[in-house]
Amino acid sequence: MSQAEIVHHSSNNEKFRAFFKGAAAIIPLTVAVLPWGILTGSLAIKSGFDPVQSQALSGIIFAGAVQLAIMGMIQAGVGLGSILISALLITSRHFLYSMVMRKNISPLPLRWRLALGFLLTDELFAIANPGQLQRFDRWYALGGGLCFYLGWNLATLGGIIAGESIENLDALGLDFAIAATFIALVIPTINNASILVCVLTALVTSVICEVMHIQAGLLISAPLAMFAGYAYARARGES
Amino acid sequence: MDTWVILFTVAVLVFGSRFLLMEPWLPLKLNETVQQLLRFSAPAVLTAIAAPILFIRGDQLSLSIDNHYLIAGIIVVFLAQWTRNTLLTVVLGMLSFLVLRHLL
Repeated sequence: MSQAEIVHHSSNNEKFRAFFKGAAAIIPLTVAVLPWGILTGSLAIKSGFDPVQSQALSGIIFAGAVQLAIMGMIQAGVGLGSILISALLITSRHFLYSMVMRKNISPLPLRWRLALGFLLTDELFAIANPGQLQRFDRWYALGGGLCFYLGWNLATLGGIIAGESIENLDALGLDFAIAATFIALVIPTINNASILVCVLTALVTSVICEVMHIQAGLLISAPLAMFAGYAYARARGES
Repeated sequence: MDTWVILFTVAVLVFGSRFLLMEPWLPLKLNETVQQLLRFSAPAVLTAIAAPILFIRGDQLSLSIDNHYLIAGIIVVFLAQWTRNTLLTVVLGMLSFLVLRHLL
């Protein structure tokens, strides 16, 4: 475990600066999910949750795709076992993120591991993974994570207040904002052929899974793409 | 079953999936091969989430010029390559998406 890659700040001033740098880095991603947060809050109200429960979906679960999936199931009276299996399928990619972040986060004190673990969304992983952030900085990660948490929960609150008056937001093409932010983050990291192989494999296999209506196609396409990139790097002797 | 019980159980599950594998007491040794594989996790997952949004329209693969998601997605690829700035890329990308949506 290389401690050298972890930033240690000597002054509070530097901590604040790193905190706000992390918050600034996640702003584009936060803006892109605001409409989704509004939609999630409004859908929760429409599905029959009370306002406090609707906010709690974002406040304690804090995982958009899981929230959307379980809302309908809970209201339909589906059993807890089925709900947990669906949630596990959707949330399983986080096991991958935490494995990647293990090197940087496992040496931290418990309160940091709890906080950063709770905040480890797709978006925080996207800005704080080692390919994006060469030297891990806990304050940067905390700033990014909290900014995103605040944005997601305020958007949910907006959706709860608007409630029934929100029309079908997904008809506006808001999903494009998510795709655009992920592309904007991935493209600059393609600095060698093996990452390009990985990206192209992920692209083709994820689209095939979707066309074939495979549930949780991400569990197939992401590992395949990682193996493809790794195999190419091995074959080419890339370091 | 009480809604709150379900919400808290799901919250524990999601938190566990994010937290557990970072715990130092967990005897998880990541050898060199796994480390090398994990290097590819971010581009693999982010691409696999984004690609279907661009390529699938109404359950079907859509490679036509009418698919404004795909055209705007290609514009975003070029913007990201040239500007290397996430915020600028996302803002200009969303603008081009909205313009294309209006035109197509």
